[in-house]
Amino acid sequence: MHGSALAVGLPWLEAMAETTSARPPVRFGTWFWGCGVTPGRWDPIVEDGQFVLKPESAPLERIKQHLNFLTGFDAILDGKPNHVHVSGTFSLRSGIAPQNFGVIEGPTFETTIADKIGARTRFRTIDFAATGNPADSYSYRSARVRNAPETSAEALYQRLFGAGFSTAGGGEFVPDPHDLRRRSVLSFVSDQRKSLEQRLGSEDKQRLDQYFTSVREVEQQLELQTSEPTVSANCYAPENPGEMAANYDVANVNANHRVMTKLLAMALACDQSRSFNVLFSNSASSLHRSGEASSHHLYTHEEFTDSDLGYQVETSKFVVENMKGWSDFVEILANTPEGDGTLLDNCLVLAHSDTSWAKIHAVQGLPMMTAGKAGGAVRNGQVISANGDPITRVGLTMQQLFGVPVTSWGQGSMETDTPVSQILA
Amino acid sequence: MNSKKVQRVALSMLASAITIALASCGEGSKEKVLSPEELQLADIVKSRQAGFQDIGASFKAISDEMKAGRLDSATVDFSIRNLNTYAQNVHNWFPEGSGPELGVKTEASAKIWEKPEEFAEAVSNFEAAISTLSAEKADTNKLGANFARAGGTCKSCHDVFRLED
Repeated sequence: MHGSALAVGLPWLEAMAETTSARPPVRFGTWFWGCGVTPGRWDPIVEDGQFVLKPESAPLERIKQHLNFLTGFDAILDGKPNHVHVSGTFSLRSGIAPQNFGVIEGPTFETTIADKIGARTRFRTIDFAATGNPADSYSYRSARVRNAPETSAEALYQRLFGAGFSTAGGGEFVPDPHDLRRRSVLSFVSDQRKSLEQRLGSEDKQRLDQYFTSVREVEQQLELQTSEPTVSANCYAPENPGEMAANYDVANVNANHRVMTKLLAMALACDQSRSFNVLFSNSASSLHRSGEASSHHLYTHEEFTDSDLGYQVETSKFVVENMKGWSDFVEILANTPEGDGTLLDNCLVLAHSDTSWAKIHAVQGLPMMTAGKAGGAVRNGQVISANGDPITRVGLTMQQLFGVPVTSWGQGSMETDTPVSQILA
Repeated sequence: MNSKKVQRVALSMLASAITIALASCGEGSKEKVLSPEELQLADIVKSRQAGFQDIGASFKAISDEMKAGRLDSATVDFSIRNLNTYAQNVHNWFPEGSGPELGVKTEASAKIWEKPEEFAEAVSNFEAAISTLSAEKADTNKLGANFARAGGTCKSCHDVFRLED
């Protein structure tokens, strides 16, 4: 062995990419709207390589080149109850049809992706609800821990661009002494961990482990804040939007959503996070028009179908409002320059609803779309018709695209090892 | 009446009012307290009621489209698919203990559990009728008859196993 050389291969590490490539990071996010669509009025067809949109998807005309439509994917409940406005989302996000109302039985897949791609950013994830209600979130780290969204543009601004935000090129970088002090305190606390652990039972050890996982996240954030940031030239602190009315009035939701999306886009451009969850309207949509007593949800159940037209006219108008919101969202990302292209080119966003046809709480054919190219890994312009395949194929695809080591995902009839390969470039 | 007397009468009236209010609270709180197992069964009752409401809404959607002459509309197709999904699960919706004896509002008759074989046959007839409706949905000539047959299986089950309001 004397004098012989020994080489040990290392697996691919994210750090290698950081040093060898100047490509922008790839981000993943979700965009949610409530109360689905109307059968036959939303899902487009493709003719001559172009989407032919339907009345409810018509607002997507200006952004359709960035989209894929995922249709015919079912939440398969295996005899479990269809908990209205819950089973669809939980099945898609966790891969498990819930047995009990409102009780999710595992983490949602986008948190797994956030853990994979967000460890080196200031925020693991940026979540916001345009409705002003902090309960409007469908992102769970575990059965008991739900990610809380920001619910006002002002609060989102302060979180992203208030204290702790810094850009390159602002003169000599001086770390905040407060951050340095917090970092040293956390190091000291971590040193005490081992001796404490020796005195604890297994349950307490588990609790302590969960606690230190969150401490580690704070440490990582502080590490980033006490070292000079390397951010894109397009990164700057936008103007503070100030307080805005935040509630379920569709006009306010639209205004909030646009402002918050612009803040999110800049935060992504500044690499503050690589993961996000956006909610335009809640599950069982409470959207309403100013001065009207009925909400979108109430319309879905109480509005009579127009016998000549064959659909619920007012309900359909609310679907259109949701699609206008999605169109705004995609357009803002597509209009944010990054590298040789746009921010949207380096994102993958999954948009979905809680039900397909809210009138009957259907969870087959949950409406879903993707936007963006995920840095070139995804191609657009597809309408995928899955014909009753498990909805988990979508979550599996997203996880695999972002390097989560999972070959099969979902439970019971929804367990799948077949990603949606048609959207892969 | 001096002011102290007025105060005493007022306090006495207030006490009586509070006593009556508390007594009536007691009257209103005679609801059965459910055990964890019973709470789970109550959830199942709630879910099956929601399921039957959606089945009813699907039937109505198909019926409306048929009346309007739109036999091959997306609404008909979608509603039949939804019925087919629900129909495959109905046999799971009536576990032992989820009947009237549970003490929660339900229209499920105790006969469901007294005559389990007859009930299973009724559910099976419904599943079969919906399965045929689904398999032959593209044939608009058969839609009316298949739809009527499916509705008939609902009625024959309700006649025996559903409590009237």
